[in-house]
Amino acid sequence: MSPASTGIAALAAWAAGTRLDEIPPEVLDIARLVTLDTIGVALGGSEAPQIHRLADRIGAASGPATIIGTPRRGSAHAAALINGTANTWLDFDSGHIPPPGEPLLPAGHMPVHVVPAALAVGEALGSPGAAVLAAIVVGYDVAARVGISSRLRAQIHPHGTYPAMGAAAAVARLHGLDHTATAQAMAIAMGLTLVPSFENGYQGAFVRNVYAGYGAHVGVIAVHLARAGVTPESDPIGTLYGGIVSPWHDPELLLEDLGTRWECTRGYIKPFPSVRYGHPAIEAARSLVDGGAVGTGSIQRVLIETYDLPATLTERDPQTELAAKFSLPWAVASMLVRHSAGPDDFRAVEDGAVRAVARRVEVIEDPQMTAQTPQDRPARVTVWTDGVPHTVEVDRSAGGPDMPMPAEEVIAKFRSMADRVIGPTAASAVVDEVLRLESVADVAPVAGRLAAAT
Amino acid sequence: MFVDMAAEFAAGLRLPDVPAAVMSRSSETVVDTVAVTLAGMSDPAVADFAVRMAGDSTNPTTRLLGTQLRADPMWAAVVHGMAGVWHDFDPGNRFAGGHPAVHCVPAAISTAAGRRNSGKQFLEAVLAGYEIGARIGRGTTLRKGMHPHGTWATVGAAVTSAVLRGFDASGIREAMNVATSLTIASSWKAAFEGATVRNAFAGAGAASGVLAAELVEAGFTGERDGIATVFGGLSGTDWNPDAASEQLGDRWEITFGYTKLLASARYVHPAVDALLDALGAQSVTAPDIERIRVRTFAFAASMTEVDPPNPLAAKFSLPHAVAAQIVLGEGGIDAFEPPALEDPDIRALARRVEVVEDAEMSRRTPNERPAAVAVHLRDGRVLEAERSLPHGDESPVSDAALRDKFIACATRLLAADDAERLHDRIRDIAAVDDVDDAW
Repeated sequence: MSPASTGIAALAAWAAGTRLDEIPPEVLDIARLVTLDTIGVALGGSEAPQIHRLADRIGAASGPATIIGTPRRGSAHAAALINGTANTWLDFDSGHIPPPGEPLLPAGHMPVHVVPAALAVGEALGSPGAAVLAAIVVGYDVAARVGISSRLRAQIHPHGTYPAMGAAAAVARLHGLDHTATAQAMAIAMGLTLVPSFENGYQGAFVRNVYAGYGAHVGVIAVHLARAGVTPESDPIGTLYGGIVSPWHDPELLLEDLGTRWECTRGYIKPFPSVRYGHPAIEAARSLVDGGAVGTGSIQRVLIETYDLPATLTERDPQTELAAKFSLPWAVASMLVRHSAGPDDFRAVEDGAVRAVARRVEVIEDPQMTAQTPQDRPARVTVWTDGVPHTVEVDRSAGGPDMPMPAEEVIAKFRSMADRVIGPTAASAVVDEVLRLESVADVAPVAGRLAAAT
Repeated sequence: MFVDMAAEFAAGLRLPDVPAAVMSRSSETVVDTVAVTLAGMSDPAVADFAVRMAGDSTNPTTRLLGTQLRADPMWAAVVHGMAGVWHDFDPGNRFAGGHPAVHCVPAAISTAAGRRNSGKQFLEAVLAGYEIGARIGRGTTLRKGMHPHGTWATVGAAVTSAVLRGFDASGIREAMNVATSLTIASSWKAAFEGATVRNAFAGAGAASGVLAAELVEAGFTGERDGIATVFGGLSGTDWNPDAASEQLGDRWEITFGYTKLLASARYVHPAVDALLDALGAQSVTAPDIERIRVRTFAFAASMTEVDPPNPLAAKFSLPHAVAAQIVLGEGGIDAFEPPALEDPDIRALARRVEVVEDAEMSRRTPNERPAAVAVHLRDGRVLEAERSLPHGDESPVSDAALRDKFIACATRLLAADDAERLHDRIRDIAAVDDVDDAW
């Protein structure tokens, strides 16, 4: 058996050994909101017919874990696979922001890996809410550290990659594994890192939505493998994230401020179900709508000036709901025409009025804005109606640590998706239980409420 | 686009059009893969994992080979893929640079469960997946440090699963495009360290093949040319569609595959075979030997660990493989199990094995995988031999040798007469009406 590397051993010892009462209350406040938000976006995503068909094929009438938003159940890893897939369907799930001074990269989305794995295993084991909450906090933390200490190759989608190690840490903790076995499970999960393509997102190909579910299920299976005696590579982070999928890794950054800096507080909750770096432009468009600039009159032309990353989202004619989420012209046009860019708006990807405006949207990079990143992530939207230009500029989008989404908005976002899938009574109970998760004796009834009525 | 040609080929493949030699190589490959899977199932870690996955299954349609357990198709594929490579005894293909069969066969077993597929359909699907997987392997240059298990062969497994489901060419293409993004960043270092997660890479690949086809049936889609994206720039660096499509339909990749008669990395086999040639009929024991010098191609010459820490690492150690062959007189599974690792005679002799790269031999790969061995005896004699390819590569192993291998593997779990009956059924799998009954 190979000895675990210093990095994974230290992360595992911390993940296995940290007590709930060692996690500051303000961290738990954020963790509960992130958990609620993650469950909500899974409920929203579960409305996709593909999720129901997958649940019909892989799930069963009975089983230890709920397949969210469906009448089906499955093993913990099957539930993690499908729930993690539902989790990213709307592209409405929360991600992690690199620390100030670091270059902006596609964000790692820890919750859509860690929450479905912890919830499914917690349900199967009948774990107390306190155990599940602590597992989510530590799972999020250890995985996010791999993200910030490496540079995933640009065309590799982060879902299904290092966040799976966080799922394994959370599941190992729920099973009560000691730090050695936790390190084994985490390193095994790391060894099963996917190499998924970002291009699937741009083309709106739905396999993109499976990556996170795959990573969540790897977290569950890695614990089975570790308990069966399968051994990991000694330093998979170094091999994979310091070479194969990421050319650079800093082992010191991996462990920096472990236990004092809480990674789950450095995430964002999305206000719009689309790619995060497009949000400043959508917010600018919303200000134009709210200010009455585009109330009447036909929209002749739209110019979006923004920093480098969103300036690549130029597709004017997206063919699927997922592709529309990666199209800045479509998302901004939806806000301008439908006065909204929510889940139902993106489902209406064929809306002719939106498409007509989207074709008149030009997206360009403003190098000065790029120079303002990562402190600011600006966008300037100019709309010409009746020959008159109207401009709004936004420095940063809301939802991140600097402008957190207030709890009542997180709850409203949850209810907007949960009520129509599980009904307002169950949705209200879930809000109540998740927001006091550490006092819930058994998460199984909470998870059970996420099933759709038969 | 290769993905289109491949999907058309797989959709149009019919056994009656397949040359007899290819048919026979296909069933041999299935026999060989089932043999090594049974051997792997006998390992305590695999058996333990199998019980966990079966216990967690809610639609247990798929029989876990050599056991009374059943599991969900995907989880059965994880177990079988892992078991299949556990002893590093599984069939491979040096031109593809990997092991397509051990991804396709588990995917076929899982997909056929409950579908009443005939043995002919089973063989057709395995052959289609093998051909496409091996061709993607031909066109792929994986990033430095990557191991092939769980990478391009996953796409072959998806083809196998799609064909058994009766997908048309567009469905098969979709499954391939979905499967490419469900491949992993497989690490070679795991194998060198002997970390058994290496075996889970193949299990994950086989399962992702089944999952990809399942996803397509559920309405999931993939990008237009996932192979070019993933193997052209993510896990691979230089995708070559011409190499992949060369003589598609005329040249059968499975006929270039090898059957292992030694339970170790293929790279060490030329040296062990050269050793056997050098010794010939002479009775040479470890104390007679002063030292052994092995010259071979670069990758094999990197496998120099004298004291491998575990069975898998021992399979990637030329000194161990050579020493165990002399001390135990065999190179099967037991030559790499813990008792052999702890054998003081093997350890002492391994330290007297010198391995060097021969640059000229390196240039001859992959058409050849050469090795030369010089056994320096204490009486002053030097026994020498050289091989350009290991046994089973230049010509297929005999039916009798394959049968012996199957029985040796299967009897690690099954009674001898059960093992023989299973062998005979699978050897003639094309005659089976419902392939589920074959196991």
